Amino acid sequence: MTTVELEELELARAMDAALEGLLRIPSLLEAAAADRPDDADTGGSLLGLGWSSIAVPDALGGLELPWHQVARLAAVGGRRLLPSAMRGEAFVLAPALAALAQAGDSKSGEWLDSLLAGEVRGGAAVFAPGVDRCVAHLPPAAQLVACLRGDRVAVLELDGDAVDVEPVLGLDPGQGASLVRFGPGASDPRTPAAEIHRRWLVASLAEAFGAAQRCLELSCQYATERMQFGAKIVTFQAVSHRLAEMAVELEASDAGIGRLVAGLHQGEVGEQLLLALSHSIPAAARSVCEGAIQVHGGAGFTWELGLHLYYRRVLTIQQELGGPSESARRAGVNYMASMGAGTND
Amino acid sequence: MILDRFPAATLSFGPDEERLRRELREWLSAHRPSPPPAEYAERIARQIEWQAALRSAGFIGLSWPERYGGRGLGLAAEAVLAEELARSDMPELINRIGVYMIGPTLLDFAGEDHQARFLPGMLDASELWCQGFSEPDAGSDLAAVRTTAVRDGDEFVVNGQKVWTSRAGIAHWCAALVRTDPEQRRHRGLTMAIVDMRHPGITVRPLPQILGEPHFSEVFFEDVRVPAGDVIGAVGDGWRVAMQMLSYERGLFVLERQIRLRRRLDELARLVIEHGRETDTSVQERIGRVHIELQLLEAQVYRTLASQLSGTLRPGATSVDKLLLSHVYQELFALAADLIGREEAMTMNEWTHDLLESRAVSIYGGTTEVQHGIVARQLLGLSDAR
Repeated sequence: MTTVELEELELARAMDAALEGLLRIPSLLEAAAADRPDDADTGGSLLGLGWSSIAVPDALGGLELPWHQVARLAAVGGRRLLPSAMRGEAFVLAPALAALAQAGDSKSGEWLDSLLAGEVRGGAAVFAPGVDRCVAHLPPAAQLVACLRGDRVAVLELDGDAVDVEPVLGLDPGQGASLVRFGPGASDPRTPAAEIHRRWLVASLAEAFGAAQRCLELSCQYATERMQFGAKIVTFQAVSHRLAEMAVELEASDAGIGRLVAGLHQGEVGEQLLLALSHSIPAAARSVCEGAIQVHGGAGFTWELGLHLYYRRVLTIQQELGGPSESARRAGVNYMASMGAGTND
Repeated sequence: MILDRFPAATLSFGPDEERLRRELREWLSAHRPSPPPAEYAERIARQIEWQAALRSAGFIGLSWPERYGGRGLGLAAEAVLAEELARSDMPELINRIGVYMIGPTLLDFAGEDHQARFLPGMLDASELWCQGFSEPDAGSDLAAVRTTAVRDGDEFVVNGQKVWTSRAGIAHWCAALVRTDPEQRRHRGLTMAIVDMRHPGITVRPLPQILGEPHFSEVFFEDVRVPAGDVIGAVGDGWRVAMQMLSYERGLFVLERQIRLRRRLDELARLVIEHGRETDTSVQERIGRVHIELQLLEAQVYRTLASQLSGTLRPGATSVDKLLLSHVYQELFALAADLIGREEAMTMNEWTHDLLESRAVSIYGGTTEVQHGIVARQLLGLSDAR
């Protein structure tokens, strides 16, 4: 392993340990029950980790981390249930401000500095093509929202008339779910953001993977401890084979992300693979979370164990990436179109 | 989560591999044989000629040492070959069990003399190989092998029966897992013997498969004499050798299968388009799901090959390849049978042929249930799992 690789690994391990200390399941459950942000989020301790600088160029004070490290850190975020809004903040808002600043917009440069300093917060609203509304997750006291639609982005102030934000009770409560609509003062997002979109996709996929991986670990641990019928439940094939199926789904997801980021690193976009993973990874992660709840039996269904937090996160990401059926259909359309067929998409 | 393993490493091709790919494509386009004959013996003869021609052109044994007729290249070069052959209309290599499984195992475990004796014949298909593992009472439970090899002077005398042995009827040699120490139980006391299939004590009885084709056989051993030195690895170390051999059944094997399946999906998609059904959203979704699974399988195989290359393959990891392959293989032909039309689905054709044949993939080389056990025990480390 090279020095750089070791440093990257150390950063990921340190981030994992820090998040484990800051984000405790009982506290996250309380926040979810009250649909309010976790104390670690409001208290500013998470901001000290420098998450928002991950995707910002070095020249603008960011870390400018490579693709595989983006995936690795996002997986750590998923595993530790990092606030949802921080994904949008780090992978859409911050790089969008950076892009605008580099294009000469000084106001964006100032915002970016404030964001990196933790003085300004914001999130991302990711719109489906041609749609003017979506559910986004915004951090406490958000002032900015980066609106990403297709491969264009615009950064809007929440107190202006370009965007209309209405808090809603999210499937993943306590994460600042809000219904975001383009307001009367909005114009179409214009800043090119294909790279930002891809980075957000990679981060979303890795976050879902990380959350599901944690569920699998918890399930394996539980199955080796829980006794029923006078035996550890892992000795029953019905249980161990389900765990194996969960592992297989995640192994394939890992291989897929590995292939994707290796391609992106080489400058190959891998559009079909990106479409494939946008379907398969949320689907795999969902199936693993459902398996985890099942393996835990009655305990798995309780509020206090908290498996539902991972499940809610993954279900939400699955919708953000197109939903279980539509994501597969898109992949089919793209594939058949690549064979020279005319389709209705 | 093991952070230092995520995201997984993947196989990459450098300029050398790309050069090889061009070389192969040129050769393949210049050497297209006519379609394989329908008659079995003629078809086998044609396949032997095909492998010998590839060998003469220097494309078989790319990763093998040059002293045995290889080219001393890496696994990535073998991957290029597997991909390009799968993209051509040629059938699989007739001696693929030798070239992809037994040969590499000989390179791992056998002495110089055996390597020099057996490897060249594998490459040009002048000596075909089969693999004698399963027995009537040792299928999924391979360690229950009962075929014995009793030492008699400087020979072993082999007695017993193997079953579901692919290509036994045409093989010259068999890598047979036999019990050399009857006092030992299960995984101990086994040895991998090299058995000459032309020995008069061997009877091969074809066992027609689900499609009525005799691709595998029962093999009976009656006082078959094997020189005591003709073993792969040490006497008594057969289990380890067998497991290594099985691990080679993934990687390149699955890579080639994956591409062949992708070509079949392409055919199906073209059929769908011809019938004007490509705008049906349900068809789009279902085709999309299979295409997605094939891409995941490709990523998984590239990952396996990268691990094999770097020597970091985890025990049990290749079971993932097998499970993914089984699933998408069966899904693809189930989907095809649903999309080709009722009359086509009720008559024998290439789609219904493959639908029936697809049941094999979740059985051979360790059933899906066995693979799940391996994943649970080895990959997840659940030692109490069964």
